[in-house]
Amino acid sequence: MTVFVFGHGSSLIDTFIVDGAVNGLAFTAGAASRLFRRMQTGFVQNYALVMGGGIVLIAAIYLFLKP
Amino acid sequence: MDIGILNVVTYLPLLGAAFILFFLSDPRKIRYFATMVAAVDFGVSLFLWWYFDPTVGGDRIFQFRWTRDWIPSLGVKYDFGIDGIALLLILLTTFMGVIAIWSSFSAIDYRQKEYYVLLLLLQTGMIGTFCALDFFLFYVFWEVMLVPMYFIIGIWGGPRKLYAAIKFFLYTLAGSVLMLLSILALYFFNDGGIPFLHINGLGNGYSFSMLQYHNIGHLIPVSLQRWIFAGFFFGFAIKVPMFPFHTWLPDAHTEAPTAGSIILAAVLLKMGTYGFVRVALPILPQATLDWLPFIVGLSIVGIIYGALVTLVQKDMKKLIAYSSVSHLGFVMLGMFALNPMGIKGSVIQMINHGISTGALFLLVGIIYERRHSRMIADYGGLAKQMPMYATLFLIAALSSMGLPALNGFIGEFTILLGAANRNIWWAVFAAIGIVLGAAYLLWLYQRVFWGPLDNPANKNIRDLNRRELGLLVALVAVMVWIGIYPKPIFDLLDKPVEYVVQKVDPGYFNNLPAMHVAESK
Repeated sequence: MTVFVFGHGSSLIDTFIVDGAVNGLAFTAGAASRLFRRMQTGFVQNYALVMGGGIVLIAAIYLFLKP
Repeated sequence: MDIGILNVVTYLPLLGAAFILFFLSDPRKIRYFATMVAAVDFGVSLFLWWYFDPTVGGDRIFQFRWTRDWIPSLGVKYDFGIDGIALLLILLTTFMGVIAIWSSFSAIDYRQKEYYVLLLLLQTGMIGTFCALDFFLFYVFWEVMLVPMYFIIGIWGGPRKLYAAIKFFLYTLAGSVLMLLSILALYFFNDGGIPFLHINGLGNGYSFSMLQYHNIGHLIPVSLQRWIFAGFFFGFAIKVPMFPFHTWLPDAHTEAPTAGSIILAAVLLKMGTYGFVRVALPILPQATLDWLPFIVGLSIVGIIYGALVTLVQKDMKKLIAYSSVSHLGFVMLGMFALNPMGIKGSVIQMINHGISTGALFLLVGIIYERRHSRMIADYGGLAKQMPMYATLFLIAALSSMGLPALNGFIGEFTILLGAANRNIWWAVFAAIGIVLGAAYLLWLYQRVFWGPLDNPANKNIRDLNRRELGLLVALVAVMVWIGIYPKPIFDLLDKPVEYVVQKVDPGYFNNLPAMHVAESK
């Protein structure tokens, strides 16, 4: 029965591609949160380090792009 | 003092919910009181129908208007009014509300007070959405609707209820936020324009009035129209749901308690299609035409793909949930034929789908209460053990697949006429969906009701009790009535559909080809 082959095929597509995209989006958001929450350590030294690094980076970009 | 009959219909369930919350604690009393409130509300909505004048056309088409200033500094008004389309959907809501509440008597056995309070709150949200003629108010009710349904699925649902509830909530919320963006774009265009996009506004001041936007829609530049339409499209298409935004639906339907599935299928899905016919089509005519091939394509894919996926489902409730994707594809196809036939068929099919699919969910719920299984493989030969149940299931299934003399036929036939009038191929593809629809429903029926009764667990299964019989007979009566004498419904739709077609395709009535003249008689 060709119709059933198409049916099962569509059902697989629905579960893994159409719904998979939706669940994938949710998983991406969750994974990003697991990754980025490590940055929030509560240690002021860490934040100062990132800020210092940022200043250096911006200064470098500025000097590099300056004509 | 004129309190407005629409306010009565809308807030009666809310008052009932508040009364239950503060004064009732006996579950038995709560159940009967909630049913009574819903029944009285249905009665009031019948009054609406009685006093509604379907012959009024043009700008006075919205009746029972009740308008007050709400937040004048933002141009927000409290504006209620209904046309024939909204009236039919309100009647559907109040009717299915009674069915849903009454059907929960034996299904819900814990936290009953909260359950009935939330169901009544949901009624208020749904009816308010259909009454609102101000975008702000519309959006408020649109969101009010979301919260009770989230709790109904999340608290009283099946094994994967939390996953389903959160998915439902986030998915539809994402859509409604995009809809809000489009509303704001309209709002700023109507006032001073959008400076950073170099779009000049009309300078009409602050307004959220839908009717005002119905009249200025054609003034919006086409490029802006397309973007605004995109926002509305996501908001409404997720709610409908159109392929490929439908995957929240099988989860939500399958996990929700029976009454939740009934309301979800009967009314919540219609919010999306109602949004298209009330907002997107009349306000954004050029964008509608530009998006049309895309939407029709998705509808046709939805019809056939939805039916194919339905065919192979093993869980009855999931099967019926997927069949909604296919049926709502029909509704969208009819609507985007953009001729009176197609849109009328589309609205009638919204009502039909509500009744038929609501009945099927109720039937599956009834058997689930007895056997705690929804798997088709667990059943077989039930017709011998439950003749009444089998008969009513057959009628509901036949109505869903569009058998003449039942309601589904009227809707599908009118949609096919409208679609064929625009492009014969649309109707050809849609007809494939009808054939597949008959296949999955009849095959389901064969596996559940015919053959030998070989599962010993089904040997002592009870047939319907009086309450269940009453619910189903009421639903079947409506199916037969619409199937045999749909004229009162067509009468209600004449003027509103003419109004929509005039906004979206003003040339339609001026240069009618011969075929259209024959059809409009």
